[in-house]
Amino acid sequence: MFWHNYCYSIKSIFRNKSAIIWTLIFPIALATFMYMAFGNLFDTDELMTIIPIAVVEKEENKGLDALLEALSKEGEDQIFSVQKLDEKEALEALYNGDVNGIIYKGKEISLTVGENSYMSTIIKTIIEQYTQSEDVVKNIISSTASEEQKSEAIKSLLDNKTYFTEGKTSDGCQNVYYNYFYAIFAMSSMFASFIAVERISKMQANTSSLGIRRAIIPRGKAMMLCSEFLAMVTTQFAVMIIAFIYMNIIGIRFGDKYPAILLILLLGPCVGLAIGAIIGSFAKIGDGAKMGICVSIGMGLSVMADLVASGIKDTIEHTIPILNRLNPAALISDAFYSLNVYDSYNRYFVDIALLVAIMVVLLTISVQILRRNTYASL
Amino acid sequence: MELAVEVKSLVKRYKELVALDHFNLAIKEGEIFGLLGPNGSGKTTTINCILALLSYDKGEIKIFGKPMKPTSYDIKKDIGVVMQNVAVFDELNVFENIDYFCGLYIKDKSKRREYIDEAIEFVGLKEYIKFKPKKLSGGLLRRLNIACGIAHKPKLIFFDEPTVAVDPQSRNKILEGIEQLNRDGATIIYTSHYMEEVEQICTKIAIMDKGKNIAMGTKEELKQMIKNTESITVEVLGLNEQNIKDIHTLPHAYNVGYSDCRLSVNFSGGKHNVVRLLDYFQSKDISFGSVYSQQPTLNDVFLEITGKELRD
Amino acid sequence: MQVFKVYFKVLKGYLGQWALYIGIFSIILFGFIVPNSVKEQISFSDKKCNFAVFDYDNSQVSKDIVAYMSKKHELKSIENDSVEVMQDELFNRNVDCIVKIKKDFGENFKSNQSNLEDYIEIIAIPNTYTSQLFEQDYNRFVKYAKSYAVSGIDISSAMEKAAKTANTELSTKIVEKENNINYNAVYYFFNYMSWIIVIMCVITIGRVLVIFQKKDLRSRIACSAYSFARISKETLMGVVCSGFAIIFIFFILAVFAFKTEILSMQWLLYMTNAISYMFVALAITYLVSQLIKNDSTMNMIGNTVSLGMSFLCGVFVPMEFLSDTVIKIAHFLPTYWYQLALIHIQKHGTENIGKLFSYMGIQILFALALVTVGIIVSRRNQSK
Repeated sequence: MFWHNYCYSIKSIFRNKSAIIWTLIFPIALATFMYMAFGNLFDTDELMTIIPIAVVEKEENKGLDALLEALSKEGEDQIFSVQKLDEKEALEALYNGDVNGIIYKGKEISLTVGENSYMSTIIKTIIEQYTQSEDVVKNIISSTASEEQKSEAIKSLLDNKTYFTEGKTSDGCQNVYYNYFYAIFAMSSMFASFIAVERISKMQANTSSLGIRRAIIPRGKAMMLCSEFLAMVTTQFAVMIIAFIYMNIIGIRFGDKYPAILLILLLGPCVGLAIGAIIGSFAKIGDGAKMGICVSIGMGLSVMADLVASGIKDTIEHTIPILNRLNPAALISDAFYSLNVYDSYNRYFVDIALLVAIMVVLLTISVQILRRNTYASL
Repeated sequence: MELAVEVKSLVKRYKELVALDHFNLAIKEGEIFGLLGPNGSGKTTTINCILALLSYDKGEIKIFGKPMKPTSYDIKKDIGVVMQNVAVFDELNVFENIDYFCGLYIKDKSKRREYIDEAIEFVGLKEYIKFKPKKLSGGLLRRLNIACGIAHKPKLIFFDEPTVAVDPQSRNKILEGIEQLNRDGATIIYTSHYMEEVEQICTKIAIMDKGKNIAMGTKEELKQMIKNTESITVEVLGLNEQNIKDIHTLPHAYNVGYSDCRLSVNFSGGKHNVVRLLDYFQSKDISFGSVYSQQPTLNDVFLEITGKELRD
Repeated sequence: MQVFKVYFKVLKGYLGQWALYIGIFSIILFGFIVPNSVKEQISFSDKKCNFAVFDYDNSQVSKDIVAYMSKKHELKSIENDSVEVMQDELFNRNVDCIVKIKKDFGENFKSNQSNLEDYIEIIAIPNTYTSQLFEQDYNRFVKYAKSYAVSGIDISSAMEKAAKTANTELSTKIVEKENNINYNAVYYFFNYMSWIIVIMCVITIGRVLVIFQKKDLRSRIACSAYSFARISKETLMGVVCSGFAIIFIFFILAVFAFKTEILSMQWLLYMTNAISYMFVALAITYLVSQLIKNDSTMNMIGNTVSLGMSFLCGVFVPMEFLSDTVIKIAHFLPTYWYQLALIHIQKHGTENIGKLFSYMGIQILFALALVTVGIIVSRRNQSK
């Protein structure tokens, strides 16, 4: 009887188009739009690429020529790609975005850029080093130091040394836009509540006549509730896996800790379903209002987990961190993030433990409401 | 014969409103028991209490001699319910719906298959087994609703206003089906506010009003409870007050009314009342037109006991 | 005006949804947009990186370096230098670099040993512009300071001279680029408004329209003394009035956020653009209400359409960062033309108004097209 109810519940859930659309099609559509909009933004906007610049020759400057040649030499250390243009062509290229800066070469060097950006500042900083180094040499030569010291000083200056060690905190993906994709999973999990609302109303005698019929069967309610919940979890888990596979296909990388990822894809919807079970059990609220509550809760929690604007979750972390510990959407997003950037599973396990705790609390509440067999009114 | 359902002094309150007021019921096995009453009289509340879905404040309910509780699974396996509202899954087709509900009672797959085929045959939905509920007409949907409630061959079946918004043809089919189920051994409890249906199929009837059982018995027993045994209506012109007084003096006549050229007389017994009335007209040389004689209906029973119409 | 009154009575039941989305918008507006308001920059200024320092050396050398870098960039503080905290702060772009100065850094510097790099670590997301810029600034300063120190000057004077040298600026000018837009708070206000307004219209006004189209209700109204034309007129009035009500709510929010700044010709243009887009939102609502009758599907469609258009048309991601393919697709979406109008007002203010009105005109054309499709669908539904 358990499996009989389970199989039919799965059939029934999968044939309910609107619920499947919400939890599968909507996240897939959203992920597609997001990927089209900023899938490559991290690569194009933040990661260093070869900067195209134009050089307008006003006067000869062999030193600058040598520097630019060195910096535009093909290889690992290439920083610029240089075009020699006249002023008009250079300004046009700058206006159109074909070059990011124009260097006016002469005894006096100047720079023209199109915007205040890191790229423009890097161009300026690099060219400045040329003029500043000249100044340092002049100062050293004109100083009272010994010839040997001057020679050592200039040698030190011209030495292409790096006076720091580069460090990083993770080998994982540091693309901040991935917060949006993590939040999509969070949202899909929360929207699993729609399915629970609909299924629970078909189980409760005080919410539908189908509920009455299912309440008078010769078996305990626990069997019905468990098999129904398991069916909902099965369908939602399948939906989440499909969404996950799709996102991998379009090029979003969540790392390769697949068992851990699968656990999130399983637990997340459980929380959403538990929320939906509680909402669905209230007989006095109409179906439309229940859907409205599900959307509000799902959207609200997901927005707080960076669904529409990156940085909200971080702001909450710095101001009211407890909110992030209680928001299942934030926990799901953080679990994905932890798997992606950290080698250790510590933080991931904390997120999972909190999710499990929230799920247990919500399920306990929903079971208390749903297990009742008799009602004061129907 | 054992009692299938026994309800003693059932009280159910919704705050100040008393929905069931020391309600009593005794239904023998094999009966088609009708629960008749206007909207709001407590019929559905009674059913829900008997099924242990509604909590109640006082009283005792037994089914097949055993106390009925939410956990009385041994009793529940022999109960079937056909609700007023269609209770089926929109996403499952006819066969799947019946299979699902039957499967909640019958574990054995081959036995279940047999029962389902019989149920489909019984309600006449063989050509529609792959149809989803949305594609079925109102009458067919009601038949599906019935099939889902009786497929597991229950011994006690509750029909709660199953013919609401159903066309007359489908309604007759449903009533015939219920009688067949009874012949096959099921005890039926049938609630309705359509007295014609209750009169047609029920072997015993209880009339409810304001949560009370105001009368119970067979049709004949109920009709004998009231004074009126015959109502005669005659189309006649020009009756005067003396005529009315004279008609009052006819044996067993107790209620005489005359308006719009229609005379109506109620008799509390006796035979040949029509003959006596017509003889009077002849003796007074009074012309008359159509003559109607009617036996009392359950509506008359209800009216006399409560002072209002069944359909108020 | 029975139909008109009933329209609003039914709409009243959905005002909770308006409150939800206005709430979300207000949080974004007052929590992020207004506080991070950027002033227009007409001259070039160096971009700054956010960085944090953990100085375990605490020598004069390390302090001088930190002092120089703090002038060039923004010094922030983070909780601690555990991997987890650093990773989170870097990932969320609260800091671009974290500098860890080990003990004896100063001594190593003074004694001019060749392994100074072992005493200082710059932790950042590798290969980003910000990390490159920060590292460049740090390295050149240390290079100059070392050179001066090797030439025999005392350390503190070397630091001073290095700072003076590193602060000599290259003459830099900024000229207008085609895509130069000043993304200030006002821009973001109207930017995000375009997302919210569509979803608000679809899930509330759309639902009311669906109710009015219910077969039994429609039949009952059709049996009354109300002509079809009058019913349509009053429904249309209701829809348009509720659209203006939404615009009014945003206007009130703008008053709170921007105060007297809104009393300008430029703001009038912004609001006119917003009203054109409101008509687009209402048209989308009408079309969706003809296609979808189910509440939850309507909710989903509303969210998908509003978010989809927002992502593809430069609402959440500025247009200059979108690929050419996406921009081509965006041409077919009304939000794109709204964005162009918004950018036009940003760049040109009240000049070149003809072009601005052409963008608004295209939005109205979109609205009319969507309504036409909606009418065709409606006729088809009725004939079924």
